[in-house]
Amino acid sequence: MRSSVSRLAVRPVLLGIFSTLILSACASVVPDMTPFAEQTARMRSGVTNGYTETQTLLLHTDLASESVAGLDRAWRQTRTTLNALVGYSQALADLARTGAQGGEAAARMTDALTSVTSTLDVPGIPANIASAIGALNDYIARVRTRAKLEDILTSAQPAVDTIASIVAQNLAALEGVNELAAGAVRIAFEQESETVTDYYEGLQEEDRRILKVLTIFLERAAARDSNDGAAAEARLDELLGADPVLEERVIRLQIADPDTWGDHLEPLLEERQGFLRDRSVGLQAEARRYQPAYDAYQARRAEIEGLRVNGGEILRKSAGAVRAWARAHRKLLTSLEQEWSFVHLVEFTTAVQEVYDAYKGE
Amino acid sequence: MPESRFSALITVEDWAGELGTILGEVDEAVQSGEIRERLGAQELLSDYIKASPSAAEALDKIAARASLDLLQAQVDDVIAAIAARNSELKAATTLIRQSAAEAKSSKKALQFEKVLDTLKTARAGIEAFKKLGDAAADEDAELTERLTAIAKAIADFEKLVAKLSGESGSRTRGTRSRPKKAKPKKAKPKKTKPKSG
Repeated sequence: MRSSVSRLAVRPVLLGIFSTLILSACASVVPDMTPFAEQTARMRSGVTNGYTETQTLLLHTDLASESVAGLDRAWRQTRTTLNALVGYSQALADLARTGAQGGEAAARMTDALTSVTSTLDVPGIPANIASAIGALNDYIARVRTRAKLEDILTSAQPAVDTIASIVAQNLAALEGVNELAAGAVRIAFEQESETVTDYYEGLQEEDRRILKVLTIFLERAAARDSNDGAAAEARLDELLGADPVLEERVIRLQIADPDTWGDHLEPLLEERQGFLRDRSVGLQAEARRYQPAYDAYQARRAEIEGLRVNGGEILRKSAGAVRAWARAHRKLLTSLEQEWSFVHLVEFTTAVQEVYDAYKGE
Repeated sequence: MPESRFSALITVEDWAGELGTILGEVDEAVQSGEIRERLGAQELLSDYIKASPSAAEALDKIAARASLDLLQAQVDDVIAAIAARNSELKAATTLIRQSAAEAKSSKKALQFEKVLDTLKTARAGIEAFKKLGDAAADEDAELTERLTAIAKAIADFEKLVAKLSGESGSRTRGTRSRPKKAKPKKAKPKKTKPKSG
């Protein structure tokens, strides 16, 4: 006795149809959506990081904690939406993968049927029939998957566009918060560190001024050594202009002794040069003492600036990624609506690549 | 050093007057709702704090507080804006979830899960049937039973394939809601008439 399944074995016409279907399977390509799903997850991470950076800055300000909590409550829906997008893209990728493996599903089915018949000590499904079923199912699965994907993407596209627009707006809004929060943190920190920074910067500034005067002293000495009287005179004028204290003392000397003041000039200059040299050494020692505190201030300031720049950058990149993601979704839909071709495959892949590119260098 | 708007300020009173002017600009920036204006006002406050003498420390604190007010205004506006968009976002998210559910359901259909499950059940049933047949004394009767079982198993398989083709081939739109579970009916308390008399 022959089962209805085994009777198929003697129908070459059906096998011919299967072969035709296999040959035409190139018109039923199911796109690989795994990269799309991967980039959706990456987009979620990017958006989440952008929000976290802003939140971190806010927590460093003296802003009321209920405001930070209020922002978190408002943001919750965005977070939920991004999770849903990841779930959606994974479901699409799973469906596409399963559709592309229709032959395997058929193989499992024929195996199961064989196991039923073997239980009853009768032959299972003949190998050629099993293979034919596999080929047929492979084709059917691909065609149905494409149709189903098209259906799902068509229904989802308006929601995708809405989500992309809203999430991008939310990210742009956060960018402003990020900038102002960084500014508030910087201002508060600068105020807090003002005593140390003003003192340190004051030491440095005075030392720079003294070193400039000492340099003119050396240049004047060199001019005198080379008997260049005019140059030495010019350096003296420069010296008096650069050191008001010295200028005042020279004027007093001239007033006190108008005839022989020149005899007392060199000792006065030597004394002043020695004083300034000692002062410079003292200033530098004091500056070194405050150097660690000043370095810590600079490092913290750079850190705040880094938070501002990174936060802004990741928020901008994420807004771009969200828009690129919606474009990739539309490209995929367009590809499915038309007959799949290499050009469409490239367009879809390029659109997915844009989501990836948005975070390039992260 | 280039001339700044603070170059002419000398006394603490001068600095206080200047801060009053800046706070007016901060207020305008808060009212404008424009991020650029708010950032500009904050930068002005920052410059003021840097340029002011240490004698004006109390004024610096007021300036720093004003910077926080700018941030507060921005956060309040952003919370309101995001919250206003949330209902639309929620509705779109529901659609996305429905689409994901449909994709999952289609995937299951493609995997012939239902067929596989049914075949497993059929196999168990046939095994039980066979054992019964083995125990029977009459061999002809046993053979008949086996053949009946085979025929049934294959008929079931065909039905399932046909059913599956119908399920995964359907492309109806707008029917994505999950079938509602039947709510268990509450047993109504029996009304008992008070016995008269």
